[in-house]
Amino acid sequence: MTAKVAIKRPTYISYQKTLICLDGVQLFTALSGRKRRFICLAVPDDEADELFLCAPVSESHFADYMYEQLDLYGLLKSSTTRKFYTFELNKPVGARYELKEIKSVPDGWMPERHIFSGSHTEAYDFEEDEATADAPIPVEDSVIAIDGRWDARDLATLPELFTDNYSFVYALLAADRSGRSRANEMFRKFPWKGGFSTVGFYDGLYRRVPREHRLAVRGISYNSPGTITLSAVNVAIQKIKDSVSALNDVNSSLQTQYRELRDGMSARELLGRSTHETVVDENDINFVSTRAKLLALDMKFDQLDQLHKLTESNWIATAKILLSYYRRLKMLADFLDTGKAAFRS
Amino acid sequence: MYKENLSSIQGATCPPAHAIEPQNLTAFRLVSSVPPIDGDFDSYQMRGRTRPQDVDECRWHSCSLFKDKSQLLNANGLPKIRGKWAGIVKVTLVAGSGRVVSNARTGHIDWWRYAGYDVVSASTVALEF
Repeated sequence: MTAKVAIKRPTYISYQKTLICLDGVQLFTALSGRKRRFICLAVPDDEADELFLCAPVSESHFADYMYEQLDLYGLLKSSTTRKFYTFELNKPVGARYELKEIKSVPDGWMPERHIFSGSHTEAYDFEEDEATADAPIPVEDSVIAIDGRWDARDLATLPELFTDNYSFVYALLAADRSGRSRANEMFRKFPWKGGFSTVGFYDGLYRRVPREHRLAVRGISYNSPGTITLSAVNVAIQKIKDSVSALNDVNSSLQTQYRELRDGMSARELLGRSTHETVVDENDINFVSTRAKLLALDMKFDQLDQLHKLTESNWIATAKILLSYYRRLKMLADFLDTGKAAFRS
Repeated sequence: MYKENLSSIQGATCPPAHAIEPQNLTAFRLVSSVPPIDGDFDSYQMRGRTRPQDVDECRWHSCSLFKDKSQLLNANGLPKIRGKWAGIVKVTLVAGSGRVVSNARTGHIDWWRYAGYDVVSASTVALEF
């Protein structure tokens, strides 16, 4: 009788994209034959000069890392199989590398905390990445803790307040990820006279969010305290959460900044008329761009460059859209500031 | 003309056509000794590092610099970088120092140094580890 022996096939990866190059390659992504993503980090070793530590990571965690919602330490630790591997960069097997599984990660091989993708030396585009170009943007559950006395109107109001903000942030994320986003035209379509322009803009953005990425209420547990579970693109929710936190900071001067930008634009007769009807000079542009950048910075809105690109570098349109986003964010922040609801971390 | 021999590089012109002579461009680099020595500004090619397939040969022959010191401070937390360097120097690149290509998205600068340019004198210690 012969015993059955499980033969473990070696795992091979192909080098995909350099992310950090500093005194040689420090960090890159690789793909297995089945297009599973690995993140590979250079580690010190007395014997092997170009040794790398590799871990398989999910597209969701990789996107979080690329959007600076997760640091490199967290990304490596998120290994989907809880396994870690090594290989030597200067010892390829043909065009690939054979991974060797290690039992544990030796001391000194993990990066320090707080190293984010902003430290990369090489530019990265999701669109050019064969592993993510057609992969779905990860959707996860976000839990909102609710407390106090809630009536039916409150239950309807909270998701509604989220919707415009979410559609806006999502549109910019999608545009950043792929230059061909369906929502891009919305940023150039409206004359931005105010009123119906604004309503039409947000309505259009919402309708262009793919069904699988729309904000959805997955569950309500009505107790005091209770929870509302929202299903959404997590990166977008995180950005809204960061901005709401800035607005509700006890020392926030955002409302003053908002008013100064809006009043300044009004005094220059840049509001209430379409961007095509407006005559602007260099002083107007300087005022609007400087104030808009400051407002965006303080409200932790890190998508201003993307927004400006989508308005075809029109600072008046960029600022008008930013002001409208601020107003919607403020309504959500005010609701959360009552203490009746809070993001659960 | 350049410190490193770029004529052997196959394919496109090196440095690329869009590389410019810098005008008082401030940049930072990790160095192995403080004060730095000329070899601290060698390219990865000179240091014998393995070139990844997605980085072209011309860039591999350049000196890698950063616009922002904080990027190097962050990178100093990488396991193979940690504890290996003596400090960070600030270099001010002027016309006559060479040619550069700056990447606006990453803040990274590729610098092809002219032969004879005294980079050690042009640098000051920004941080000692």
